[in-house]
Amino acid sequence: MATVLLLEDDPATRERLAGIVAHAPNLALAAACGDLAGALAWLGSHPAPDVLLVDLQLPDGSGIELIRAARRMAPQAESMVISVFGDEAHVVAAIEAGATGYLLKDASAEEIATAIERLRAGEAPISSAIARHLLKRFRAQEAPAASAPSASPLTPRENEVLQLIAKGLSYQRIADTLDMSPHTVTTHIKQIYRKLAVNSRGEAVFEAMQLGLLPRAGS
Amino acid sequence: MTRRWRRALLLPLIAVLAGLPWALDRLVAVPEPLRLSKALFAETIDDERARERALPHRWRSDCADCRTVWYRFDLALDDLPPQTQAVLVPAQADNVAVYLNGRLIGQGGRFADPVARLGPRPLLASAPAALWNPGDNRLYVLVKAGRPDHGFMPAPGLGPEAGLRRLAQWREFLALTLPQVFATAAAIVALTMGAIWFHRRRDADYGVYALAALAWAVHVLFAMLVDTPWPAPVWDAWLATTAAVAAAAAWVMGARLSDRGPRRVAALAAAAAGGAAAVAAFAEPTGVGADVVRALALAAFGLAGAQLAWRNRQRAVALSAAGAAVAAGAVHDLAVAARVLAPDAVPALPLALPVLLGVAAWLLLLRFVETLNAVELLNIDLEALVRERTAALEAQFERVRELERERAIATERERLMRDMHDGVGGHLVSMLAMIEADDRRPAELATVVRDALDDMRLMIDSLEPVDDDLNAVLAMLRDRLAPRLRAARVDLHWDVPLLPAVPGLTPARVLHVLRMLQEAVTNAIRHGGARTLWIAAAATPDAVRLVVRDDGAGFDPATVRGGRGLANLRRRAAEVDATLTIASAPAAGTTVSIVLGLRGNASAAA
Repeated sequence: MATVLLLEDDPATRERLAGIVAHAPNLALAAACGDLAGALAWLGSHPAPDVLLVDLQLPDGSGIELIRAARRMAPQAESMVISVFGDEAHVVAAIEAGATGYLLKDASAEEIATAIERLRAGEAPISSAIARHLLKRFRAQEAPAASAPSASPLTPRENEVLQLIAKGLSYQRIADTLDMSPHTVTTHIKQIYRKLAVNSRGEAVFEAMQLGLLPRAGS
Repeated sequence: MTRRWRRALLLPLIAVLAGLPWALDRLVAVPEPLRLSKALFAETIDDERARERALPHRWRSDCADCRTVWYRFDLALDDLPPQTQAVLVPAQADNVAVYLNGRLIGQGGRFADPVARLGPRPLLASAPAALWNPGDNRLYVLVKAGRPDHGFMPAPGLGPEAGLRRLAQWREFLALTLPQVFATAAAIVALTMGAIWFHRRRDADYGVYALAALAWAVHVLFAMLVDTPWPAPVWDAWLATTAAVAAAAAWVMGARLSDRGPRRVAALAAAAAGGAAAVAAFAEPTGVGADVVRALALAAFGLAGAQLAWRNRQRAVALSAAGAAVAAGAVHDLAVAARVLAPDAVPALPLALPVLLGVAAWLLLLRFVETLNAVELLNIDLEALVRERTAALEAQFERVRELERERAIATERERLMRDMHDGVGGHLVSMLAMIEADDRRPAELATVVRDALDDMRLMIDSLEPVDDDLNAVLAMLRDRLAPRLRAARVDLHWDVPLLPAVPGLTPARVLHVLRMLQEAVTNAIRHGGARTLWIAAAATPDAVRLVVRDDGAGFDPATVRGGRGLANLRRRAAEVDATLTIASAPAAGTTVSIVLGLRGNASAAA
């Protein structure tokens, strides 16, 4: 049974999603908040939930702040963005803050339950468009350090995986193409997510994690 | 400095400069107590025919052809002089020797022809006490001229050696050393100006200056030569010529430097002086002509100086003062030449002309510097102008870019509005109709809403930059389709290999392709009731073929013509220049294939 914290400002959508979570056999709704302040307050005063479903555009701020706070206060919790369009600019920003996937707001009860289960099972859902954005993002990070090849944040293998996802290949197909198991593909994707989160937060945070001052991402 | 101040300063300055030659004459004259102003003059050393003459004496009136004459001084002494005495002969024409009581005590230079020309050099002959007799003493001065008309005897001085030596040194300094220094400086400046003129022929001022200064320097330095290489008449002509050239060039220079110089007069004067000098040099070996030329040249100097002083009295004070100095010097020397003044006076022009040369050099230098400054300013102006033009051009480019951007935005907005009208707009209208009819068919309403959402997502996806990558476009579609197909329990077989780039894959084209595929999929599920869907892509060198196949009910293309879905498919295919084929038969499923050309087609993309 996984506990879920829901943050969504539109009452109808919040009610719908809360209902779906409450009725799903393996999920339990811990809380459903309508604004950022309420969610942050709840997170600070209750045991950490297993999953956070976070809307980004809120009346009193950005859901990204809650994702960041969760990384700090509940490192083992998984965050998912809920979005109308799943447009990349928002989702990639959320991933950089520590989210590991996204849900469309009109997804069916079944889809939502399946996605959360998969997330809990260690899978990292990623769309082709987001993969393309990640490739671009990593390339941009690489560019200034072109003189030092070791500065590239992705391994060649991770780069290949990301490229095939961007081309629309299924995990099975990617596994066949790269001669690995589908589970390994998932591992690579999780690693990529982690690197994106690390790379986007500046050297100070990275150094702090290296020194053990901050918990490592996703561990 | 105001004009009134200048004028007030100018008159005293000119007065001082004009009086200077006479003041110098007084300074270096042999003082009266020591002056021997009378002598016995004889053509040969024959005391019987000697006659008394006042000194200074030009002997031409007594002996027109004599070149060597004697002057005898009878000196009666009561006691022997207490210290060494000396005889000072202040100027020579052209050479002298001094004898006391039959002993030679001083000599100028060579007596054989060409005779040494001592000119303004003073001769100091020391007369030690041992040579004097109590009572009568006899002092002889032998004078030899290069030409009879040169001949004259100044009034010598006799007295204690120390005082006379100081006087001699003063005369030598003023008559020889100072003019030599000036002449050498003038020659150096002349060479510099000549070099400037050589590289800048257009600027004749530098050339005229060089000529004037050089001719002057040559004249002065040659006039001081003691041992001349040529016989006296030729040497005189040569000196006169250099003086005339210097005078003419100085006049032209002064005229050019003046604010409003009478250039034609200057040129005529220059020609006259030069011509006279030439005539004098070759036509009159006896030497009268040389005197005339010398007088002419001096007159020319005087005129030029006066003119300079007058012309520039208001603005170029320095030039005016220099002109005054030259005029004064020339008048002084002319007075000596015309025997108005004693011939043993120190020549003043060699001291005055350097003033003019110095002022002129200074003015030319100022002009040179001003030209440099002007060029520099001009360059700065030019740079500013270039900067200005560059800025204007940049602004213009910026405006053009701005216009282009505005046009692109307008085009894109128009397209987005059309697309929204096509998609979301239509869905919203049908939703409204269903709600107003109050049919209470929530499942159908949900379907329309989902369609509207799906269409908006397609629009958003189409705005993604895809860099002509059709794989990316298809991948986005797959991500969008998958949840719907799962919900409808339809199996999707996805068979898309890596495809070549499709040139001109603009957002508009992407949206058309996405909507065609979506339409095909929707038709297969809604109208065909398909359970399985195959989506495949294949590339040939010229084209990419996209195929959507289903196992649904199918239809007979011969009987089913209409349907908004099919019409939309055809319209969009035409818009992106794709070839659309729909193959179907009742109970045999439907195959929709879209062939996109790989040759970039700008008109299709627009």
